[in-house]
Amino acid sequence: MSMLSSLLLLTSVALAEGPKFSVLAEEEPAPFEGVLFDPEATAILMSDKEFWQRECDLEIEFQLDQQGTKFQLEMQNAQIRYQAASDEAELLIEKKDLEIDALQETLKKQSPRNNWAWFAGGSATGIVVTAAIVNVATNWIEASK
Amino acid sequence: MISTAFRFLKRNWKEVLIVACLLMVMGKMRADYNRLEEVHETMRTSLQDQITGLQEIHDEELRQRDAALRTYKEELEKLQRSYEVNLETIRSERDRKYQEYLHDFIKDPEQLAKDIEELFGFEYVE
Repeated sequence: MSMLSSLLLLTSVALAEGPKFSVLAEEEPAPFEGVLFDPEATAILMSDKEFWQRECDLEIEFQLDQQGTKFQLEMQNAQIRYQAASDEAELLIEKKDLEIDALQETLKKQSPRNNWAWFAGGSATGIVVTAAIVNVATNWIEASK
Repeated sequence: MISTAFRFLKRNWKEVLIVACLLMVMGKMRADYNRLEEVHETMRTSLQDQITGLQEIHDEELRQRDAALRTYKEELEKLQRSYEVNLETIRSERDRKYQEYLHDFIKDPEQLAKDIEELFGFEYVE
């Protein structure tokens, strides 16, 4: 129990002093307790510490550039679709207008200008022809008897 | 001759009228049919023009999409190459630095201590 207390005390003292390190030769006594790294491990830790930020920045930049390029493509595709849809609408309107004009022209040729006169003439002709047909039919029937 | 025809007409005017009316109806039907054909032809031509126009627009759209996709792929390849080159540079620099630290450990421990202080902010203890 007393060992644990002293260890905690030592740790808190060490933390209060701040992190420290020492460079030791082989068999040389350590000035404080701690973890000892060999030259290779130390070199790896130091070089990694120095360069991980640059690697991370490069990775972020690369991913952002990729996403930016992808977004650019999507935007371009949307613009192309919009342009095509706009052209399609314009073409359809133009062709439909031409079609309407042509159909109206045909309709004008078909419909007489003085509708009432045609109506009156057609009615009169219809009456006369009906009467004639009835008369002719009656005569034929009577003649056949 | 004319008087014979006149007499025939006077005697059979009703039949002649019926035949004339029938001929008129047939003529009118024929004219209507022609107009209908004209309308059909107008609509067919219009639809044909629309299809041709839409096809052209569609072809142009596909061409532009292909060009955009090609540019996108080229851009990605360029980015990938640049990324790999930069990564390789960083790694070779890191290897160089690793060798430098390793060298310092043996040749110049004081410089190594300074470097550790700068890098990690730890206090050096003799």
